[in-house]
Amino acid sequence: MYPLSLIRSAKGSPIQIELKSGEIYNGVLINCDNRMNLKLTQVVSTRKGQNQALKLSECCVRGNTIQFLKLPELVIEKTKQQAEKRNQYKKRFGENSQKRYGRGGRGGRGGRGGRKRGRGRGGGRGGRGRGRGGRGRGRGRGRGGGRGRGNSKN
Amino acid sequence: MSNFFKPVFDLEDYFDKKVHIRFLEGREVSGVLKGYDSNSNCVLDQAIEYLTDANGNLLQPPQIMFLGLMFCKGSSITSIFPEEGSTIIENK
Repeated sequence: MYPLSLIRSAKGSPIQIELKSGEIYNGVLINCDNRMNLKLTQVVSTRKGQNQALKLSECCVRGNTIQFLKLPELVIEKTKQQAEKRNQYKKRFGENSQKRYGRGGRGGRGGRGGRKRGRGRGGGRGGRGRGRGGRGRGRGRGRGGGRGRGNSKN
Repeated sequence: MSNFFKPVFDLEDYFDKKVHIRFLEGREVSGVLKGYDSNSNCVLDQAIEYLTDANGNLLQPPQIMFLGLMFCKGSSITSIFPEEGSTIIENK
């Protein structure tokens, strides 16, 4: 569970922000972004050591100044539900992509591997064959049964 | 992902309106928002600074310093709020 996803699911719920400077903003969260900049409505803002509070219709708080947030407990359940939804999507998309890649990939890999193996085997066989052929030629020359040279001589 | 293209600090709503900007060290400035960008750098017209005492508390009654046209660096901005709809509540 990421902190930003927790905040995103807190949209529309009351929230309390304490800033690094000690200011406190109580309000309803409208919007948030990736930098944790928050937009609140129906805000009451208080400052350290001041008896006055400021009531604001709207307020934008910059993310880098936030020290901590107080969120309602309902938000945790919301984020869990959204995290589960995302996992389900990932599973679905993940299965589809594996099937596609598996078929094509296996076929491609098989084809490429087959050729390689074929060449390899062919080379191996050829090598082994040549080896055997070499031995055979030797015998062939003596007997006169070799491939071409042996026969031509004989 | 839509937040990526339209930042929350979309000051479009506050354009040409009187806004209060609070800064990191407790300074407060108000002015008409004439320009902004994605880093929340702001240009304020007819800017007024509300002076604070040594502890950083706003002076009562508020003393002001007239600044005129000013540029606010986004990195030191704490919060921005429009002046309309803001009321002072005494004795929290």
